[in-house]
Amino acid sequence: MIRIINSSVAQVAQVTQKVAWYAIALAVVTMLNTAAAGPKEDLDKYQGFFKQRFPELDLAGLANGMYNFSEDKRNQYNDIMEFPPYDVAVEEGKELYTTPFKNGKHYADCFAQGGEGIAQSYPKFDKGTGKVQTLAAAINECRKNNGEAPLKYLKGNLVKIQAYMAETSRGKPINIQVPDDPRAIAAYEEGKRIYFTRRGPREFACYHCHWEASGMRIRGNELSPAVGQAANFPVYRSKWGEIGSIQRRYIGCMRNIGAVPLKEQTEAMNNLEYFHTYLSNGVPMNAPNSRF
Amino acid sequence: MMKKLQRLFLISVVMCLSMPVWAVDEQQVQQTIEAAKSAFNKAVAEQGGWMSTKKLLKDAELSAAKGDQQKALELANQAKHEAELSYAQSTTQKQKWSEPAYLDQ
Ligand code: HEC
Repeated sequence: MIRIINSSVAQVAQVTQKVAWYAIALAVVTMLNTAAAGPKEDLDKYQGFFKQRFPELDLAGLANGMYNFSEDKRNQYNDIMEFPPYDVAVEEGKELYTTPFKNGKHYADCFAQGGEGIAQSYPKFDKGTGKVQTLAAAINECRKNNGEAPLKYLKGNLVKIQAYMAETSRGKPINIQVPDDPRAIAAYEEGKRIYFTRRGPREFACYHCHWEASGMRIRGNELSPAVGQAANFPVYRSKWGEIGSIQRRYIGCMRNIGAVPLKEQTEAMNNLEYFHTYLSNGVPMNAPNSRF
Repeated sequence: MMKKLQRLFLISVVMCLSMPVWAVDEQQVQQTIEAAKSAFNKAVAEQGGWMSTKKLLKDAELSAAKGDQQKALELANQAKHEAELSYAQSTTQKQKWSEPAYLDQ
């Protein structure tokens, strides 16, 4: 008799334990579901959209942008690339990068790994300031810390240095981290909002052209898919006749839709770059590159 | 006498024709331009603003400088209207932006 009671008590205890496990499991699943609004889940969804739209292109393929959609332009690109027009900028960038500051220190002293093979991780969330830091800003910070005047952001020497640094990252997959820090999440979310915000008199948002119209033609241009774009920057553009930064390109697109562009290296613009580059996580860097 | 009357008539016609120009006083134009500028800056501060408004403002100032106050006023009013629209756009977008629905399918 006692034995029977004992065993049924044991059974009850077992059932209770099981129920508790289910409850915990349920709580975890619910939590994961709530977290489904996070950057990781976004990335699956966003890259999934382009995988479905262009099943024949892998991530590296997507990064070829408009050249995927016009044989004629692809041929022109291939001709140009026989002597890549950004080579001079990379050489000049290397020269600038390796020349010591007046205090005898180098750019290499400011960065992990001497600055080689790190460009794929920028823009980066900086725990110290709680803000996003672009590679361009990191270069200028390095100058400032060594008593040198800052350089202009959109073109010129700073972009050449960036081009050299990017060259040492060629082939490395883009790896933007959004750490579990409310300030990092907020920066990412602001970038996302800016990306999906309609601006200008005709109410265009970035995604109208680079998501749902990607692969289609607009005024003689085939539109590149958003995923992969960032892997090419900085780029030498024939239209510019020089190498320029990704924010210069954003500014161009904003102007083209009639919107007053955000200013380079402002918090808003950097957050846009953070989000936009994050979209390309996993895409091998192919920068600098050449564009029309 | 006839000639004098004719001349008076002519003068008054000319005066009537040029009335609209006189009716717009410079101060009003400058005030409208200033109001348009501040509406534009307000939109830009909200990450909005349209390039066309910039041009309207510039053209308004040019017309005013050339003495065409009527035209300047029209342009400044247009600029102000656009600036207000673009401000409304940027503030509503901050509330109402969304990812396209097809992403959740
Ligand atoms: C009206 C359509 C349109 C909108 C809206 C638009 N763009 Fe573009 N964008 C273009 C065109 C056209 C090109 C040149 C062809 C190409 O490479 O896609 C381009 C090129 C680019 C490139 C260079 C891609 C490459 O591989 O070289 C980037 C980056 C870019 N856009 C970002 C943006 C961002 C960010 C926004 C939102 C602020 C935006 N665009 C809004 C039309 C648009």
